[in-house]
Amino acid sequence: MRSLIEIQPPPGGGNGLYRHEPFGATIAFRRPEMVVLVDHDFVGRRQNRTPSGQRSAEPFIQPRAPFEAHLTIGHRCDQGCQGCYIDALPDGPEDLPLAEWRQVLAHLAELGVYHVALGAGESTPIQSFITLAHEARRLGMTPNLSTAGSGLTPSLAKELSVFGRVHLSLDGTAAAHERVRGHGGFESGLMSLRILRAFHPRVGVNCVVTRENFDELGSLLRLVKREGVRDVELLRFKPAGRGTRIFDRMDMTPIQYATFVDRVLGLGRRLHLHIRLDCSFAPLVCSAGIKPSRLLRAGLAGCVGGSWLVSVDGRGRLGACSFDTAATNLGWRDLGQTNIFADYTEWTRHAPEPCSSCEYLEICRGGCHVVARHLTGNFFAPDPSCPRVASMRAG
Amino acid sequence: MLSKRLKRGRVLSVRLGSNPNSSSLGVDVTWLLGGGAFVSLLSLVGGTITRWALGRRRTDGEKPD
Repeated sequence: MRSLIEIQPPPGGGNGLYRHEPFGATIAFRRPEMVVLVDHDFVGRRQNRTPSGQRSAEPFIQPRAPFEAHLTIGHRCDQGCQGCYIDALPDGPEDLPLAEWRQVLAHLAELGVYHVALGAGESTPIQSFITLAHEARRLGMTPNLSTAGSGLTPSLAKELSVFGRVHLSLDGTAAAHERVRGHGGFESGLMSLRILRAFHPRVGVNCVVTRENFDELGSLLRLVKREGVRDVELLRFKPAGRGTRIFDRMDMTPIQYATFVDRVLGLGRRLHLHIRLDCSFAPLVCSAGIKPSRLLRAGLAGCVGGSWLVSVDGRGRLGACSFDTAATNLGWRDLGQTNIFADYTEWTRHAPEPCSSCEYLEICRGGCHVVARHLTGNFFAPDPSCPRVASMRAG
Repeated sequence: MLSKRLKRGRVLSVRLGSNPNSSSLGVDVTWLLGGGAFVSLLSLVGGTITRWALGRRRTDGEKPD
């Protein structure tokens, strides 16, 4: 039985999908594109009350099923990026066949997942993405795509219109892009961006921010603006796959961490860009002096791996997030079982200082646990990039 | 006033857009530029659209619950 209930569209908008939750309900709209989380009273449902008659405080960080799933559908790639988080190789392991990916999508739809984000090594045929995107649409989910754009032609770009959004990876202007990737490819990436822009209305750019391209972030964003793109997602470099070996020389410096949010928001303001930051930047956003209640209402979330999102890699392994699929013995069929990602979902219960006394704990959730585990050897340690954590350690 | 507000329920969170990235979860932080007023407006607009959509569903004879 499907967990999602189709609801009527708002005026002039696309249809919405409604889902019951332990805290109330979520409603995902296609236009305007947003996910709204509401409490029990909002949807007129009788709610649980504590013996004292108060409302039960059910944290809305724990929905009944993920809002989105990240699917890495192929592990083969001939680009050889030095920091590839899936360690993609030209002769990488065999990936799930498309028929099994269709089963994965059906399972996700049955659970009530709203969005799927597809990605893969660049040897994966674009046609495979398109096939799976149509299947996701048929099942009522919105597919998005992130790609480096290899092999993109105008005719293929037209077919990518099945995706809600397509983001192209560019890690800087020419020299910075090369320093991050360890090889060229900026020009072909830019060409792919132009092709995409010509055929898709919602194209954006993804950029992994490292100490190698931090100073040139402004140049990249100005280029993006000139190309007519308004959406940019900035990602933190992660110690996963081949990135583990070079994390120490790619991770941003303490000064870069300290100035990151101001710099990015300043660029966004000047260039009128929509900037998205990935979940691992949450400790930095939480340090920007904005009230926790406001951050919560605007949907900011730190590590929501295993709750708001899950991932499935090319071998069918299920992970709380894309950077941690190898750490589990779970397969995609395990999704839906109770509490399989307890380390992630219950992290805040075991949070050490200074997280346990931090008013942003339920938002930030300790930052990126994959980074913390790499740097400290302890999954339950706070993310060392957090200014509050750094300050405590400095004494 | 307060009881009426509680009865109408609350918008807990509004997440704009959908995440285009296949490796981690991105959140639109453009609203940070607008400060608290923008966040309040976001909740108001998100809540109004949701009430409208749910109201239509009830009017059509179906309840989400």
